[in-house]
Amino acid sequence: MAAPELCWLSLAEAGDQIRRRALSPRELTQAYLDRIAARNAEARAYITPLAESALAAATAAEAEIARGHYRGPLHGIPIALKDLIQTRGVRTTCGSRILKDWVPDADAGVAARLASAGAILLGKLNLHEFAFGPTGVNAHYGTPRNPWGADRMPGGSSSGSGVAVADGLCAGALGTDTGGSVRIPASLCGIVGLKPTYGRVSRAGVLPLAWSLDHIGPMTRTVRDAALLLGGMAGHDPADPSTPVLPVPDYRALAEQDPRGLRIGIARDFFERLDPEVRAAVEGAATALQGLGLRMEEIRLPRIRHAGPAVFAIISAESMAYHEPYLKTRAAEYGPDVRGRLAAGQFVLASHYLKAQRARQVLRADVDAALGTVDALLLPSTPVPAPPLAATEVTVEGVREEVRAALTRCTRPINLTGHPALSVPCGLTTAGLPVSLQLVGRHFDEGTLLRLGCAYEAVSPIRDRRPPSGR
Amino acid sequence: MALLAYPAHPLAKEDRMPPISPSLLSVISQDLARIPLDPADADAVAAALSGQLDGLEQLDQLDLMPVEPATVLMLPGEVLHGRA
Repeated sequence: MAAPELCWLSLAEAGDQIRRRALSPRELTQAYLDRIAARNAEARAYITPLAESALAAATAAEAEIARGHYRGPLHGIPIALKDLIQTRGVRTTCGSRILKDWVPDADAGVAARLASAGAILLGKLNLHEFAFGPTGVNAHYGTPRNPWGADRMPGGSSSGSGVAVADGLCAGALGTDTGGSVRIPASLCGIVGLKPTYGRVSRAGVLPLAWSLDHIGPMTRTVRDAALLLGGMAGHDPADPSTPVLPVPDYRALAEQDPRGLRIGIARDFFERLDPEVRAAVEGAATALQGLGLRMEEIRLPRIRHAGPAVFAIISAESMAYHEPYLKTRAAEYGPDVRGRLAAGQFVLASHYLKAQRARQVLRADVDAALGTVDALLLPSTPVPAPPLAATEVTVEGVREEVRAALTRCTRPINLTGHPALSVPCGLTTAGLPVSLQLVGRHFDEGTLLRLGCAYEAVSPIRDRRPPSGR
Repeated sequence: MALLAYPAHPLAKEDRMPPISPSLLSVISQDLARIPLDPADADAVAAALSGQLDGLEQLDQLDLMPVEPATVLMLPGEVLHGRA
């Protein structure tokens, strides 16, 4: 296989070839490093590429596998991390000027787990400053370029992760998701994004945006790849008390199970005010799932509309609490959009915050009740495809809405409730922009989502489609 | 508890609650929160807050009287596995 084509192997395919010693981790890593060198100035996906250490790690992995010590499906696989995940000895900027020279002295829990599974770290990925924004725009390091349209938003906050995976600049990446920051760039960049259950993946060593809403998840080109990455990241971590002592299942095996007979609830309250092409693509996916032998029914969650204000109060208060020292001493170093949003947090009352945390209990119970009658909920990932880069508002079905509110409308409620959610591409608009569906499951039942997503992916109209830069 | 009317679609900003005064925010910021508010940000902050206050008030529709806050999100699985 020609070196450039190696960059488009799925993580699972590359892993299988490495296990059979049909593919060299060093050769695979070099192919990605060559593509990063050729494309990153335009793509702006990486803030800090790590060519030298990646090649050294790949060489070591290759030698280890040659000695018969194969660690598992991530051994020798080149991946990348959103640059708010701490890495020992490697600067972690959080996409900010404030931390542009910060070099942590320890790895985050997820970074350590993936390294121990044998994954190769290609570098640290761009993001919306301090992960506080769904557009992916970054004033300090440049905005990552959506490979499906240079004039379109990549989505955020894990914008570099979305672009790097979609543009063949890594085999898989990690993002973080506080209001949709894995699923939104996954949707806008046409890749798979998984927000696991709150507590499924350790947050230790990952800079917080809002402690009670933050999740860390995989971003990949296929659902099976997301299953493999999740398997390498998940599990109890004593350093993060929100992670329960639960066994980590074989997610790849679960993903490959036949989904026939499972029940899906179409969550109609998330279908209000959708771009017509998003609506058509997600409805088409529902029909395709039915054709796979799944049972579909309509589910109503009329109170879920209250999630938006509750998330606003919680993100505002928690992010303000974390950033207060910097806002008092280094406010001018924030980008104006993030500084303004952080500043708003000082005016959220304690009663607002606690009311939001009480509403959270009610809405979580509502989603739990819905998932008592079906195995998963089906909804869109984003109500619109990637908006133009300069857009501040979008108009959907005649209603104007701030672009940030629109992008997070279908994702933020699931951060509030803590349920797992999987975003899977399900179509392209006539302008060639990706559209994605979202599956929401029971707490700690990522396996069912991966099973459904994997089955759907096999019949998806955009299966194996590459963006123009990869053709 | 009587339910308040709830609009089917979001209203334009000008139809929502009266806007919050940026000068009021500056006073709170200086005298109470003691976190400097850049005057250039005050308008945007006022607009953002004004856009959310209706929604925060409408959380009362959820009948929250018997509900404790999820100040720490503890999932049922944690209870089962002895972490509660």
